[in-house]
Amino acid sequence: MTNPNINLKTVKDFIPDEAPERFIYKMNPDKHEIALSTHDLKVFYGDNEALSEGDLDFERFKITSLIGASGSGKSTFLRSLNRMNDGVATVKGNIMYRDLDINSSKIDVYEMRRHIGMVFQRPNPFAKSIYKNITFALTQRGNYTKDELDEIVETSLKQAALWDQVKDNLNKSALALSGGQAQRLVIARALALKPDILLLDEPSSALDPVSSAQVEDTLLELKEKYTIVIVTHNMQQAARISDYTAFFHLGKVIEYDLTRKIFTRPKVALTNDYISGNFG
Amino acid sequence: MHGINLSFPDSGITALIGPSGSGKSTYLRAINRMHDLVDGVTVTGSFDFNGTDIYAPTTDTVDLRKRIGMVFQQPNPFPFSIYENVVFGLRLAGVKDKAILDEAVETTLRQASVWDEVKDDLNKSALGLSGGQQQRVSIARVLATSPELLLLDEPTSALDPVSSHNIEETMLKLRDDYAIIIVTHNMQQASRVSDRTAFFLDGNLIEVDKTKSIFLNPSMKETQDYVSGRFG
Amino acid sequence: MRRLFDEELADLDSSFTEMGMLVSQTIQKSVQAFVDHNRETAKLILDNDYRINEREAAIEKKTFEMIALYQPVTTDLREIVTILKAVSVLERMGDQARNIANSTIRVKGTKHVPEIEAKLGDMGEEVASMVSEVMSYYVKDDAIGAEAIAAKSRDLAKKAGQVRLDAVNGMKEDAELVDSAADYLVIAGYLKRISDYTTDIAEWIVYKRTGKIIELNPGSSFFI
Repeated sequence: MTNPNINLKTVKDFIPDEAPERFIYKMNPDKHEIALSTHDLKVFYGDNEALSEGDLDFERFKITSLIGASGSGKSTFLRSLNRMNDGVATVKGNIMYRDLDINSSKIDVYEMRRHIGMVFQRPNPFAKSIYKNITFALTQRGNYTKDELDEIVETSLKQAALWDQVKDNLNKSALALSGGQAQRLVIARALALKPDILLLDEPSSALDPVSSAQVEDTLLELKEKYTIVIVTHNMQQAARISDYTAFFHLGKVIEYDLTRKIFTRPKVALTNDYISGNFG
Repeated sequence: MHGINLSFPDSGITALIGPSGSGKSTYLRAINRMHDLVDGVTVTGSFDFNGTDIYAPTTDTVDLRKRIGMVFQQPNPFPFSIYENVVFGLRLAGVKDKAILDEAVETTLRQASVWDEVKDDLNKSALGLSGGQQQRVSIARVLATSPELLLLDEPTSALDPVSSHNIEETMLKLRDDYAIIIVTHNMQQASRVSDRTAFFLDGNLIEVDKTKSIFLNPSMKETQDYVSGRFG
Repeated sequence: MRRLFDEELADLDSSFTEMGMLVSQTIQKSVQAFVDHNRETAKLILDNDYRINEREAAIEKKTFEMIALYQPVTTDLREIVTILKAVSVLERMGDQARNIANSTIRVKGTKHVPEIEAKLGDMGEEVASMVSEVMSYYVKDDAIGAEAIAAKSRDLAKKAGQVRLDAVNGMKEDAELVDSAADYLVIAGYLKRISDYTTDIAEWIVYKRTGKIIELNPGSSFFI
């Protein structure tokens, strides 16, 4: 039998409070396999600090959503994770991937991006055939036999849940695909490089609900084999598909936790307001 | 599209929902004759708009579009000041009186819930505004010509949740005074703001009803599946 | 910034608290009618029970609508869930008031025990005020106050136990008291049940404020 009197101190503990100055979310490495972690990441555009976050761990084979309004720093954060901000902004701090600080100047950025791939908001297939869209990057940087390429094309398209719809049209132009198909082709293109981590920047915001649902389905299947970090404006989407959610506001991480917790019992009042659509 | 029959009350918000290719945007654009200039598109049937047959050969499309304002997905301010953006339609109509223009600017920017944010910067370029502010200025520009009907084609799909919320708030403010028809991919938005919802699929109008009924007890299985996110 | 949702939530809140007040008054009246042997008032309570049921149905319908149209999360969702759960508790309280009114109508005994009836009258007042009190904690979002209801409920259970003892003793001493005393037993049970229900509502208030589902009076759900 539980204690009949609830502990009132705990009631108070659960009442939401102010955001911490610096948000730290470390996972227990014995219980969670960590795919990527950031330490004291700061992003500057010139002298302006656009983002300053605490320490965050990202779990392997999970989907993590980054949510927040425009200008909250979530996309800046995402782009920093595979050095897309190089030449645009100054990124300080460490991004640890397999014991390597990928934010270090010694890193081969192109090689790193094979491990950490990115998919953008607007489906951006090349004006080439479906087949060439997938093999293009591979053939630029390596030697593959026709059989190997065929194999990669089929596997990536299957993983992106697009194979059945396009297998008879592999030589047709990718530009003829529907929005949802084009976005899945772009995902397949990223998968062809066999990355570990897939970063997606609002992958379905330009799509209608049906295509958007197809992309979500694909992501849920992909998390068996990939670690996924996704920026989304669609809070229902974050709630539906992600295991973890980080809420960004004015260049800071306000709260990061299991999605289940963020959407039922956030600790910070600001998070509560944002996900309830109460933008005061 | 296949023989759509719909009517709209003179105030309140009607949301048109459905997947891409369902015909909802085609229908919306047909209302203010946006297809006139598109080759290969033929509109048959009639639209009766407060006694005017929109497709009658005698109907003046310039006048029509003053009475039926349209706001697009991407905010599209002209590259001049906020003030000039708002009065653009009035100047075209030959209004020169500064007092009338000033009055229109303030009234419509207030209606569009953006006055407080821009009132001190009316002479600055509209291009310097955020996406959400640009979209609200676009709404003010449309309101300035005193339309009877407002058509909104996915007005928030390019905006973040906070800006979308501002636009929704603006729509709620306008709904008592204008008939508003909005095409949206965001079903939550349709359920939050609209009074009536029409569901389109494959060029057909499947169902139109009070939004409450559509989201609680739709009559058609297709509607049920779509609003619950069960797509095939 | 304004949300349409907030306006509807405020309306829902006030219908819910109004229903709470209506239930509280009905309980108070039903016990008073029993103590006064007033069949007319008891009939009136039975005739008006549908009002409570109708309010419950209307509030439930509204919560379903708001969930479907606004997909609320966190505090918004908890508030709606709290109302949805608590409104059926209020309705069950109304059923207990109806049971008390039924007992008043079919009362057979001619011999009464004024001391026990006075105790029942006091308990009725107390329970009715617990109902209004728990509604005020709801309005003030006061989780800590709500927790205090549990102690009052335990206190009332003791009083119900005392009535039971008095009634059984009365029956033992005087066979002519059996009819009335049996009613006393049942009424004390109804009142105890209502007071348990206030604790149920208090638990939902704690949930609404904190997101934690707790048990305030475990093992207290025996009849009397």
